[in-house]
Amino acid sequence: MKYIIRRILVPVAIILGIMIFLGSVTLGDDPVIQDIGYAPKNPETLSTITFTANVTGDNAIVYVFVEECRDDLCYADAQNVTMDRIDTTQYEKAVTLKHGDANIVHYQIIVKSQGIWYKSSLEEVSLEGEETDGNGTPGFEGILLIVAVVGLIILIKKRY
Amino acid sequence: MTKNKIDMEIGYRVILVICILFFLVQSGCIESENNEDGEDFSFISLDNNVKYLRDYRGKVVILDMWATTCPPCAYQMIELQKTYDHYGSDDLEILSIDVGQETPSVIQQYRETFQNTYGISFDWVFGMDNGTIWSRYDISGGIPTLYVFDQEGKAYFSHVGLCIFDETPSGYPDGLTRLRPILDELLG
Repeated sequence: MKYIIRRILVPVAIILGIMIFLGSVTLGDDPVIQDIGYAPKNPETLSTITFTANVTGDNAIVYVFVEECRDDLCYADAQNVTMDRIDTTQYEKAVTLKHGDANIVHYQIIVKSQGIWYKSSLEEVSLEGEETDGNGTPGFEGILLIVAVVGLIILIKKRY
Repeated sequence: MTKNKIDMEIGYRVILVICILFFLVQSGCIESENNEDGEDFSFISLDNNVKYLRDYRGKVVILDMWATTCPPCAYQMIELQKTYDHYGSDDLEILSIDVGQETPSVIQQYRETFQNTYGISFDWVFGMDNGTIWSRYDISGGIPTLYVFDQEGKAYFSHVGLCIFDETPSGYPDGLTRLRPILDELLG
């Protein structure tokens, strides 16, 4: 009986223990994506938005997917960039927007862990200060402002 | 006649027939598939097969370039469903090609979500860009982008942004392009 315990059960128990230990180390838990946020709270078109997320999980690579849209279309050149790890589980990335006529940004946190992809839900941010001509140059309102200022200067000069 | 001589005779005849066919194709007396004027492109179907635009010759084809992350693309699909319901699949085919580098399972899940949530099944052809479609048919970087090809595969219409089938649904922006007049011209 002692022989069986020593020669068979003990090695089996050791092997099983090693397998369970390795299993827990290599497989790990599924990553959890939480506390997703962005700053500033009211971002403008063509500005830089900093996205943040808290992600648990070993050896995880964390990306942020950022897509700019108008009411009737989304731009296909969405940005999918790796987030920087700033703490044990805290990630952030500053992303500069590219389209002056976009009024909505969709973003999503994507995690690759142990070869498997995990995604958060697609979040939406409304943008302020939408450009009307879509190329970041002053629009019609800008021209009106310039005309008004020039007119005011001429009036002041005439008075004095 | 010996067996070798018979074999040689058959061989000569086969070579002669091949030469005549080659000459006829080259001279244009017989039109090969590659000599068509219509456009062609390939894409990867959800079951991982390579499909071509030329597979749908004889039908009007709507190429819908989209991605699951794009809300206007979802509205576009609802309008395409109305289009498909109206004309049927005998004379019209829709190719919804994902240009967002998404996997077949993500696309399939998207379709199932629509089916379960809204009862809309999107029964047309879905696929993924193999890297050639978007680079060739992108107009100004926006999705949805639609192309309509006629029965011979010639590009007849293209548009960036949401198109409606006919009537503007409530809540949609005014002035959206209507597909129905364009398709009526092609489908009678």
